[in-house]
Amino acid sequence: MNHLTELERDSLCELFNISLGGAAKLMSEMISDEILLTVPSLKLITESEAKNFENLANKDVCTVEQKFVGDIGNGSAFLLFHKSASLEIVKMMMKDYVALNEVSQFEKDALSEIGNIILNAILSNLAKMSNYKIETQIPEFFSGKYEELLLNRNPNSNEDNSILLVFIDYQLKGKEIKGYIFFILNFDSIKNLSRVLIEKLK
Amino acid sequence: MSQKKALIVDDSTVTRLMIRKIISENHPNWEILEAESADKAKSILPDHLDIDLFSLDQNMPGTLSGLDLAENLKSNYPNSKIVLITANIQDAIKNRAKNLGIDFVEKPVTPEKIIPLLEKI
Repeated sequence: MNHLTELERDSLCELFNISLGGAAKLMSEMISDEILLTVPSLKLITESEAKNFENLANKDVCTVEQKFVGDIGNGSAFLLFHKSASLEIVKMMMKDYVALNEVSQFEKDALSEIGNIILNAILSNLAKMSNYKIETQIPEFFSGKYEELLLNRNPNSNEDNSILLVFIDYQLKGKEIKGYIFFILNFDSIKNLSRVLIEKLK
Repeated sequence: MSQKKALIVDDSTVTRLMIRKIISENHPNWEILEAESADKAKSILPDHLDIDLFSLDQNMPGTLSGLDLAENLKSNYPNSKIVLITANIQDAIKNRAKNLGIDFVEKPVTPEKIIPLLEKI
């Protein structure tokens, strides 16, 4: 199993800590409510481990995928919600703009926009901190079973060492709404990124 | 006072709706046009030579980005205000917008970010 040294892991945790602070602020702005973030948990897991990840296996979820390419390699970032939470988030985002009974019409578009903003903020910060050039593609929204959405869309699934990196769960204050952010990159890309970050911190 | 006209170009229905509402609430007499891509915007421009405000998303499906469209618009609409709306806050995007002399707004769109721009028109 591939692994990172403690220093490599710490450098990546620091990167995501900083990036998520900005992302949480943006999401709070969008839904006019406070977002609580856990300290990022960094896990390198294989596809098969990911299938049984936390309480997501066999669950209906919505996800927004943002593919990216560049110095970091090819990868995907995912913002993922339990299906039951998605409409609640859209209601909070759209309450000033449409009547409540119209909100469901905007679910796909609104979640795509949230994903676009949050994932771009994280990737932009990653690019800034690493000096990597990263180009993002237009985000795509998917709804269905967790396993099908996240794992079948792994861009590196035909490569050895293909892994999922990083999950962060976040919670809306006072609400039972949880979400996750996943990154899929191959192991070499993650290792290289951590080394670049360590060099910058020296 | 003559009626002003705005064109909102964004592939997100939600963002178009938000910008439309912010403009309408502050300037109820403005005419507001919408297009879901830069290519679509280009197709309707010949019928609208008097647009005062262009709100352009940076990343859209099609052949042109918001900045690409802004470059085209600078010469044909020298007196119009062009605003780039972007979730992609990389320095290269910001610098290109600055070099073009256009404003940019980082998503999410909020009244606090849009209203000051409207006051300049």
